[in-house]
Amino acid sequence: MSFLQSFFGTTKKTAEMTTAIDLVTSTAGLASNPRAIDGTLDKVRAITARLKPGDALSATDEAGLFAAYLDIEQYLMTNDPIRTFSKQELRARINPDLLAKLNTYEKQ
Amino acid sequence: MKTVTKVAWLFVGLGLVGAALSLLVPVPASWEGSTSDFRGPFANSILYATLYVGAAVLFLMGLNAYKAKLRIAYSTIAASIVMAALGVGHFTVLNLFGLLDTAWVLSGGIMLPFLLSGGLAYIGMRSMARQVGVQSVLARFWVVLPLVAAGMFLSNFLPHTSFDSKELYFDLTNMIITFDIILYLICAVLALRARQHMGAHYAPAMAWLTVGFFGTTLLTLTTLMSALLLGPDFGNYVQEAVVLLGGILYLKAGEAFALTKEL
Repeated sequence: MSFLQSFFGTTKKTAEMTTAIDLVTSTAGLASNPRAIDGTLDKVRAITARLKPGDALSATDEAGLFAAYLDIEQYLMTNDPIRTFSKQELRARINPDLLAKLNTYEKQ
Repeated sequence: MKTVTKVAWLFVGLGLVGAALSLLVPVPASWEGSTSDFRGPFANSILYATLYVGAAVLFLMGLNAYKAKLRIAYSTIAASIVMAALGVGHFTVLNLFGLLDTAWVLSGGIMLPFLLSGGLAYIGMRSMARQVGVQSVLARFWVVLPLVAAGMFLSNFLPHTSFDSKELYFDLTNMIITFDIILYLICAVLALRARQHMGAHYAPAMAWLTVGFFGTTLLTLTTLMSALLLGPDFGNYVQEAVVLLGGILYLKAGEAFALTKEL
């Protein structure tokens, strides 16, 4: 029975998104056809490729990642071929501090 | 425990209770084999039929988060799973209760659920794969239909054991089993391509759907091999075990899909 107990119901608890990189990568994982957001992800890759291990994000990089997130969020809310997400459900797992920064960026 | 996991467990429990209750059914007078040869397959048919139906229910439970086209595709896959359970289950029950001489069986109706199962699985999986942008020749009817037709034709030339009954019915049965083998295998490949293509959120659901389709391919392949080696009366315990395994894998696939509803 222990095999069956671990067989059914084994789901990773979804972690809270605490950094702008988490925010973009986790949200991009919701796309059913990631090729459609490849252009946006290229911009993200360009930012992350510049970072060395342990480096903090610069304000410019963070703004670039927020812009990418908003593009992906818009895609998921309007253009994903199989599902329509709401803004609330997409932002439910964002850490409050990060969400505050995102909201500030969005209002600019 | 999440609701979908509880539902998966509920169907495991229902299947086990149903299998246990089947032991109370008296062995029919027409049965010529041993009591265990009757009770084992009968109990197993109730267990796996319940698991397959549970899988279909779980697929349907996950659908309300999705758009109409995907809902249709997954409902078609769920219908295919129910047809597979109905096909194997009703064949077992008819065999055990000495009903293989009825008009339904003799007219070939017994193979109808198998035909529908393979066909619906492909239609549903193809639609789903195309919606998420999977590019594959296996999602094209003009490639798959000749492939299936050629496979069915060639199945007539497979060597098999000698037997007394009519070869025509045997060949037709094997052609339909081959139809299912090819289509389930194509579904497994398309599900695998979808697994590679879709975002990380869908990876477990697509991985288990792939495993489920490979399991069903193995089941139908075992059925064909049993028929070729043993002749028309090909029921055996290996096949019973594989069909049960298929039920468990589909139930897991259903649970994994239902869980994609939550972020």
